[in-house]
Amino acid sequence: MNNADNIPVQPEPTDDMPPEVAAERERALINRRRFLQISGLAALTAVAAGCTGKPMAVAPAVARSPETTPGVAYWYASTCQACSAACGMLMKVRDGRPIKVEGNPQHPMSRGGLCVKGQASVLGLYDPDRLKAPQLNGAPLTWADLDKAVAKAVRAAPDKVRILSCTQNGITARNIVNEFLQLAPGARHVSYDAVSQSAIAQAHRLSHGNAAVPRYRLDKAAVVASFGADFLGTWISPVEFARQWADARRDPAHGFLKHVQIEAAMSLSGANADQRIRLPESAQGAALVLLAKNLAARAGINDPFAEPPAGGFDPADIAKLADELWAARGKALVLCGANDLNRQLVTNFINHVLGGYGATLDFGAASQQKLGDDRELATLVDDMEAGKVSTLILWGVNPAYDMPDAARFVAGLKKVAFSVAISDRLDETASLCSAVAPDHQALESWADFQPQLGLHSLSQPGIRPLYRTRGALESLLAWCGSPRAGKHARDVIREVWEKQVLNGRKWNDVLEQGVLDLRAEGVPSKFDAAGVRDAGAKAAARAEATGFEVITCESVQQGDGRHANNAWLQEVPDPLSKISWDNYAALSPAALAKLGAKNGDLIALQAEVAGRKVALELAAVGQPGMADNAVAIALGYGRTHAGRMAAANSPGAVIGVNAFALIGAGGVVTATLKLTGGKTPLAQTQTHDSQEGRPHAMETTLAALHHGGHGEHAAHEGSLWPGQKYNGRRWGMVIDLNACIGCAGCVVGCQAENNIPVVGKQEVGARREMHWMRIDRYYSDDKPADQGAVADNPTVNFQPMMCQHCENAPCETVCPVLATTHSSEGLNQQTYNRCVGTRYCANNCPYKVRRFNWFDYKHDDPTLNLVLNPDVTIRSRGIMEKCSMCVQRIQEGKLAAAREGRKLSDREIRPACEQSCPTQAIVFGDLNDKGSEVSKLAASGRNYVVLGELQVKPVVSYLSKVRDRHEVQG
Amino acid sequence: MNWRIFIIVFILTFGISLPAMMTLGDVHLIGNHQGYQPEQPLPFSHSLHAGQLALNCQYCHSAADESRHASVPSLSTCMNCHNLAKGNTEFAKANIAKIAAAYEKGEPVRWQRVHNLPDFVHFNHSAHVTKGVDCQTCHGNVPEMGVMRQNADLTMGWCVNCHRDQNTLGKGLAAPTDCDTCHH
Repeated sequence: MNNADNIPVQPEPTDDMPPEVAAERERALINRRRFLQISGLAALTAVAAGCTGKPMAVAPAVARSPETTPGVAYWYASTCQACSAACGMLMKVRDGRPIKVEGNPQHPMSRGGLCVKGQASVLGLYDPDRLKAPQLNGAPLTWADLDKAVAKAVRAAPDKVRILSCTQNGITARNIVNEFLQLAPGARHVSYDAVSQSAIAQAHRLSHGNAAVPRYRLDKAAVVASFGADFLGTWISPVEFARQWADARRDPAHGFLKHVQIEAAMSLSGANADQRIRLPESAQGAALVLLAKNLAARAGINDPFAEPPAGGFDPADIAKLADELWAARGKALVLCGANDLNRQLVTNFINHVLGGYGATLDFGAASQQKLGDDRELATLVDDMEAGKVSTLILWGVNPAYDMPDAARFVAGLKKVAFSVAISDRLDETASLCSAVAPDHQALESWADFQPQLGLHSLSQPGIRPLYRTRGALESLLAWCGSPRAGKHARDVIREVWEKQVLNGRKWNDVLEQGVLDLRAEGVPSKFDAAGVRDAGAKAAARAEATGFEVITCESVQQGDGRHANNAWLQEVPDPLSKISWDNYAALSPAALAKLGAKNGDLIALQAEVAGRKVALELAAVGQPGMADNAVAIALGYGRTHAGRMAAANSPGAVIGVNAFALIGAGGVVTATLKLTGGKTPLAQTQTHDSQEGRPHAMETTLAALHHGGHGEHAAHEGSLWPGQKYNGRRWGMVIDLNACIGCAGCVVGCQAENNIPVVGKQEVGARREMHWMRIDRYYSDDKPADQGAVADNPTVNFQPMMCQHCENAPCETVCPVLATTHSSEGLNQQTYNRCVGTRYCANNCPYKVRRFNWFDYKHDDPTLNLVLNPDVTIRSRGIMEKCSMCVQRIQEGKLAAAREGRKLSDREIRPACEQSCPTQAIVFGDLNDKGSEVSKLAASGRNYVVLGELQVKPVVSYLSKVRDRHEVQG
Repeated sequence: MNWRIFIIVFILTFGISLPAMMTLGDVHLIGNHQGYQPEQPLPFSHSLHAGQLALNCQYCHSAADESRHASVPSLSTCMNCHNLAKGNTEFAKANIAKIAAAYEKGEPVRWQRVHNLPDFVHFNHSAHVTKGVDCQTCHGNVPEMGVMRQNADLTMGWCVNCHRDQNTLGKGLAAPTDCDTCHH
């Protein structure tokens, strides 16, 4: 633990001091001097002049908009573009600027939830490092001039034009690409995803004659087994899957989705699974084949597979899994996260035997979220190298950063005569292109999406473009010489929709909803077993393993790295390691000890990936749950051209290392690790992993629950305090740990709502992060006797922790200036303007949820101030702050009801955390209303409060987690 | 030596400054802007519009019943009448012409804000207007003000006194006195 007392408030300047800290120090010193100089005089003149303060001008709009009222927030439906999942989104627009995004409850896929990246995407709108005008050869120019240059290049050799884009599934996007390809005969369009799932579609082309990624339906499953697919965290459509997963487990009395995760690196899905089997990547193919053999035997069908090699796993585990899956056939689902054709083919066979197609896997509304095709990409790079490409249009992609063989792409790009990047910034790729056509940010743009076949989703702008940017659709139309060139993207989209999907529906109605659901369930196509045998043999084959198996994975907070300049996403800690502002090499604690390394020691990683030599140097971190011979590295870091945040605000510095080069071509990549002797500081927000046997994040088993047990909840009676009386409402909150997956969406949702500052890596390292809510992550030991040491494959528990709004609040009794007091509705109020910063309250808080402003955390670019919520005060230096239960939303809700002369309805007021939760784990409401949802949950047998023995009587309570397994752990 | 300085300071403070502050009418505590009456870019008269012409306050301050801001009217609201009402005196004609010109050019008028609350207070007009609190309760006799002036002192004590009165004097408006009603 850092000792806060050892950290000087105004540190002495050092050479390596980050500029923001140095500047803050300088400012503080100047302010202090200046204050002493002028304070006497100023006080006197202020009094004598009647203290009228600084004059403020009000400039009302010239023409009043009939649709908007100053100071009132309006919500517009749109589509989240933070990753390829395309969840439904609502934008909160206040006085002409989006200040918050939330999930669209009408959206049938995401159903009101939004992940951490989506929640943070509003900050990306105001990113000061966005490109502000089009460029040609490094010089800004007009759009007309740029269009001339691109159109000329396209016309010169239309058959040598290639469009390389990320997944584009909107019907208008496709319509425009098709028109482009018609007008430029011979041109080709290539899709690619930085984190590819291309093997799934390829496997289904072979096994079902349908090159598609099915829609995985956890809502129809009773048992799900996932081989390395982190479907709760990052895989394909995590918000949709998380909600289905949580709904299927929410009420254990009415069915319970059993979840088995088989993986080498600890993922969010593995952390939440009922059973987690720790299995090296190299043994997963064999395990899949063994599972397939087991199931074929149970089904009594001809088993095409040879006996897989043993080792790495216990065949009994696989047999048991086969029993469970077979018992739930028709309602069973097996997922495989590997981008490896052979393993995907075996998975298809398993799902076919289990009767999954047409039930838990659906082609009718096949997923369109990952359309990238690795083979076409390889062909494109070959063509570039061979000089067969004269014009390359890059649309929303950054291959110079995120292609495994980026160097080859860059070399190929040099042979392309003219390249233009449709990008929002001068990123790694755009900076190498002849021209850059800056795209609108998601919240400024008109676009459409089709995340699943038949599910059409619209994106509309919440603000006029901040800079001289233009939508990608409009750019493409201009460059191919389309008759639609020059048309507004909105009109283009509307025409396409009128023709193809609206079918008499009103455009404005659909736009208001943001989504049109025309999905149909598909008829299961015929399974073709040819080729499965061969795939099984290849999948099960194991090369002689030397060194560590490398696992590259998206992190929940950074994804593929496109949000590297988003400070909220850099600061939110990884759900498992709790490290922010960095990536690292995660090793099992045993492997770490074997290397003789400690957390933060630098290691040199050397690997040969598909013929390329890759060498990286990064910090080693012990991550319980890792397979012993595996090293996991998060993708999305090491961005050299993302902007000032990705460079930790000091030019030349880069946060993390780029691990895309470690992605192989389907097989297992191995590497050697060596200690370099160096060390790097890690900003970790939680360093103690064990609950030490205390009941904080509690859990019980399904069996115990069915027998009436809810886990041990000690009753605590008797208090010295007289207690409070709540005559009207009494606000309370229940958090269902059985639904919480620890994704941290709430943490960033809270940050956006409550103007919570970003403090930077050094300050996080000094335990000064400002997040009002954190998610505690505990590892429980398999062996209770060994308390303290974390097991190889521990049980993981997540617990969102924020101000518990205690009835007998310890903070309230110690505040010398009554800055923190109890409200008549049971909230613990923090009044910033009264606070003098003694920090007694934080010291007396048993939950450690209060945050102190050690500095004024000003945005270094005023554009970022536009994201601030005007309903929440900006806190200054020396002020204590904490969760207010989003009291501004409570006031707004009460006021809306009063204005309309009606009673406040239950769950009408939703704090930002509750609203953002993809799994609906958080419920807020009036505990004095016995009919309210929160009252019902508070009366549940699984309900308990944390540190109940202290008698502080928090109004936030928890429901213990339920797992379907034999013994209670932890 | 030092005691001489002390006596000089003592006389300056208690002999001159304090009596002067007490006798001058325009002296307030820091943060109290009661009586603030800034010069406006146009000689708009509330006494003419709200007084003689008896326009409803919310005709111009139209957001008062739905937003935290009462809102300062847009030029388009001015032009609703001043399209036709071009003024009877040279003075009025000249100033109304300025409004029309600004409206044509699309340039907003930069009015001087009269009521400034600190950033840590979240006052909401609609909460008060929908409960039937008269504008004059806080803003004073605006229909007689030529140039707009801050009427009440708008201190927290002044706010809380009124809120308490609602609860204790049986006026029937449940006015909350929790800190987080305004401070969040």
